[in-house]
Amino acid sequence: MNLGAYIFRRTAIAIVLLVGLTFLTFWLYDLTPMDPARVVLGGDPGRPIPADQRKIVDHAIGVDQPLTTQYVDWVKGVVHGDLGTAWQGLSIDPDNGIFGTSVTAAMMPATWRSLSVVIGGLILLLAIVIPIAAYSASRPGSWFDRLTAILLLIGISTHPLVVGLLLQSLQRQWHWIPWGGYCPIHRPGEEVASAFPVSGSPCYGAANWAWHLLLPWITFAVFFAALYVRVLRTTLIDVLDEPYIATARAKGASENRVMFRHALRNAMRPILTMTAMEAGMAVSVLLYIEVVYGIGGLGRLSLQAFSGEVGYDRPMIVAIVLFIGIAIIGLNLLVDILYAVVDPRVATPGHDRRQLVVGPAA
Amino acid sequence: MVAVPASSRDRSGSRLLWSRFKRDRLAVASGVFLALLVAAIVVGPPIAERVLGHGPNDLFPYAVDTYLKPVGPLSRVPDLNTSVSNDEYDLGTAPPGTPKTLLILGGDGPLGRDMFERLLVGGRISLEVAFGASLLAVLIGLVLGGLAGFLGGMVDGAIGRLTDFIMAFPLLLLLILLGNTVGNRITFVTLHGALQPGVFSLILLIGIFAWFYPARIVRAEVSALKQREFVESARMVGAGEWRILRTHIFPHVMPVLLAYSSFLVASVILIEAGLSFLNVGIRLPTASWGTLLTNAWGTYRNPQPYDPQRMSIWVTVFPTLAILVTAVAWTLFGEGLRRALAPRSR
Repeated sequence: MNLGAYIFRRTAIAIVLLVGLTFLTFWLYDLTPMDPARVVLGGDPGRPIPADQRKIVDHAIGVDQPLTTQYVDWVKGVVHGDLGTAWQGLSIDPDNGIFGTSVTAAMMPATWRSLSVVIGGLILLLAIVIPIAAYSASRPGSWFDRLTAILLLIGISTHPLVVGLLLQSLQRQWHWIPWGGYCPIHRPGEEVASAFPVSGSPCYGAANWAWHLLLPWITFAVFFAALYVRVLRTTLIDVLDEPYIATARAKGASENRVMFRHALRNAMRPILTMTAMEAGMAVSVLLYIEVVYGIGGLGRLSLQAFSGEVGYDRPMIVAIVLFIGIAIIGLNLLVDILYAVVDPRVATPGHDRRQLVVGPAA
Repeated sequence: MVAVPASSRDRSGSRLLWSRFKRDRLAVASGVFLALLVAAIVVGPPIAERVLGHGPNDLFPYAVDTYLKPVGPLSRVPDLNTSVSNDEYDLGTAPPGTPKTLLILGGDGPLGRDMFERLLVGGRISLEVAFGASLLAVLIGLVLGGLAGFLGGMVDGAIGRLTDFIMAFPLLLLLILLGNTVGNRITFVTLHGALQPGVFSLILLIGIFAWFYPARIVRAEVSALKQREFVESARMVGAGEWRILRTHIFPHVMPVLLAYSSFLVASVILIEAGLSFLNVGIRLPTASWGTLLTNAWGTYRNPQPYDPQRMSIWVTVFPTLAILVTAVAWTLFGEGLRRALAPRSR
């Protein structure tokens, strides 16, 4: 099978998966005892909604249609870049239609915030993991190797929310570091004063952004460090046994050069695989991090959508499931395609790159 | 025919595994700890109740101060489940002559219940969920992964895409959404009183969405094993497909899967703790380690970093440590097994 056909087939499957994912969410929502009219109107769950009012609301948000029609309408909207209108806080004008929070408008900043946490966390993670794994792999069984293994194990066995709240408890002693919150990189419309400005500036700009995200990044890195160090260390030990490493050494390359120029490059592949496979786990960790540090990203948004006393906000939930699905499926697809480009054997049916990695998902 | 000496016959299979496993002292220690823990939570609660003279749900109004901060470990507090004073503001002192009772690990929070007994009872719930969900996930993974690896072709492709599908679904969101649907209907399925209410629904929901990783491992193992010579020779002498799976392939898959389940148990313990923190979806009516943790750290609507005035540090330390130590022990145990299985890996 050639590469183009492979990419086409995998992309088509990914789209089918996304359709299944979102339809399942629609269907599951339909199964819950949630009353969409109640979500829109709010108020005392004990008092019934008048039938005429319910009829107007149901018609306005489209839930009087059969489920498949609702889904097809939603898909049409998504294709045009419209994720619908949130049900919570919706106001209905019988003549002019509905007014409320646009899901698309709410998702964009939230997605960017979540990406800030994850990408920064990944960079910090690699900055921690690569030196530790390189040192451990060059001296397997040394005290450094064993000690870091135990410490990282404690890191992965502590719930991320406990790590987060522990760091915040420490922050009460060290007031110079911000407890969390989020500062945008670009100047927002109205200026938000920061409790912890860098050199007295208001809360925006790259320095403030990174400074406020420091504790979230640390929390993220602490959780995943153990998995990454283990995989990278094992791969490095195997790679260091390869003949070409002996050749490099025979040519007189220094140990550092052997490790960082020759060995690490070839040991990064399993890391790529694992990043794609652990993406689902990262979403859960992200949710806890956003809650603890008060970052209004996708995790917070989803809890908000689920937190209604009267019911869940379906347009919001479906949009979040869609975005997370795109992130996870897209990342796996990207890694698969990258592999297929590097190694054409991958594009043959029946090959599973994942058999390369055996290790636990936390 | 040459008689095989007993010693060399014994050094095969599980014996060999054990001799390698016991060299890893940390893993052995973890195994012993876990065995003791399971024994403690199975037989412990009734014994503790008998010896200490109070139960895990008894309230001790005098075990907290005016800020509702509970007492620390090894405190003797007046054994009163309700205040006898008629003055509702008089919470400071118990009437003289009240019998005292011992709280070994102190109070559990503003209600002043016995932390030690609640840890025991909560541990039972947490481990029931962890064991049950892991078992379910591993069973589904074994069947689906085994089918995919052994049959290959279309079946493999279909199961592979199903795995991608489950993998892409955000587990936490699903648990929240389903908690209100399926959860309510099966909360009171207790398998004739064998499980606490709510445990079964958690097992079902976590298990159904955690099988994709074991399935991948089984699939990789099986598809590698089925090309080995001993499988081919078994097929040559006329063994059926089912017999090959049962006697030649599964015995090799099981140890790997066992090591993985140990990691899985550790992660389900963490997932359960997180669900209690989110306080959405499934709510366990009884104490679990997760709910004890929320006593200390709050819930997502109200996360609370440690506050020395309001909360005794022990309330924070004990549940956190219980979860941490148990999760570390399961991971070390699994690591030891994994290393014993693949002695070449360092």
